[in-house]
Amino acid sequence: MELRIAPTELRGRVHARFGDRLRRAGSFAQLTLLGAAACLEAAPGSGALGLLWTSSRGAFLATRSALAELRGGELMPYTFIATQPHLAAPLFAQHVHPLVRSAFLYLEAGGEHWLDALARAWLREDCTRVLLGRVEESAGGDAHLSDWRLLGAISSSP
Amino acid sequence: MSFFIRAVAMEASTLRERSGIDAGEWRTLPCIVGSSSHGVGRVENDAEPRLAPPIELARELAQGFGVSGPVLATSSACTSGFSALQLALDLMQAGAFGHALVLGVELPNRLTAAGFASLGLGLKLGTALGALVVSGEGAWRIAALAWQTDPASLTGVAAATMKAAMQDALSRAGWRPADVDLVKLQAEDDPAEQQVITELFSPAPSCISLKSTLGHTLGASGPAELALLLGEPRPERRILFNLSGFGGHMACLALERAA
Repeated sequence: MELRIAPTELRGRVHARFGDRLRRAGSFAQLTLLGAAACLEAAPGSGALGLLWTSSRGAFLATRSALAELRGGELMPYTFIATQPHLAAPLFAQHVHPLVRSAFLYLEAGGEHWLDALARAWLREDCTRVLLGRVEESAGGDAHLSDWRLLGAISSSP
Repeated sequence: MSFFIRAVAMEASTLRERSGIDAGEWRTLPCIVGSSSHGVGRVENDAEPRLAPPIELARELAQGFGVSGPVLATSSACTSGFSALQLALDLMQAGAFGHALVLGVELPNRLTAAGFASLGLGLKLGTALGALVVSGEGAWRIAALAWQTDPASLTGVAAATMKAAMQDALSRAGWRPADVDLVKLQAEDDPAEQQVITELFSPAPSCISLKSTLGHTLGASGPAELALLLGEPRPERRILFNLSGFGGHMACLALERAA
């Protein structure tokens, strides 16, 4: 499931789905939760869930804001916290669905197959489903991207 | 399948020699890097900072270690280095490669220092590079790497979460509490961790904290503290190694001296 969200629409989309609960989360975490939750809710199923996702630049917008605040002399705590992309995982576990595993990755160009390799490894171990995603914040006037798919273990029973 | 810590170092120059891996095979090693800040310190004084994709720093580090296999990077704040170790173990278990170079790195930067100051946590921060070679053989067998996450606690870890991770590590390793010779603490002065040690062990094993030596080195702390701990001969046979941080993550690594 691929979400493309105009930067001006993100706040409204987040509020419509999560109310005020992600008000202080940065846009990277908001995009991660919006996309991953939509993907999970579109697919029937249950069981131990893993969250595995990638981005080329991570929480780029929060980092840029944090550097601007640093130059201005006062870095705000929630801006700093929002620079940490992996914090989307505990927020997802708190507000959407419990997780048995999570990992956030930066990959080389052409390295997307490592996500699938890791997901298959998790499915062999302790997950019955793994959400795989790519989240890219808008670098200018283009849309934010939150692109997700759900992999499940294939049952061997008839 | 068992995996081992084959070599440790806090610099690139000696690691390959310590690992005993020949030069040709060394060049093919994958490199998995954990950091909470990646390369932000390089641009934070620029008027208009160009934030490079964090994988670029990981690729530079791999080149610095003389490896040219696949490069992956991860971030989970203070547990980043162990997240990198976990990814290496997962991919080795899946047969993707036989050895892996795992790095935890935290380079100097003002952003992290100001960020922690804004949170009022009063930590003495440090910068470090820790490097591990994980392999199918080595001096220390990884008996377990257990994780727990407390999603309600974004900036710390509750005692119950710590205890669950340590119990899980003991269970996965097949150890009783009395089998543990040494616990590497997350922090020397954490009342929650002290409470868990008291509850789990009777009598308490020897405990050591390395934060007074290195400071809180955040994403580097797992590999860097492991390199410091295992870089010299140790008398212990079984070690539990605690690591926790932002996001409510708690990792407990069970290490056993190889026979």
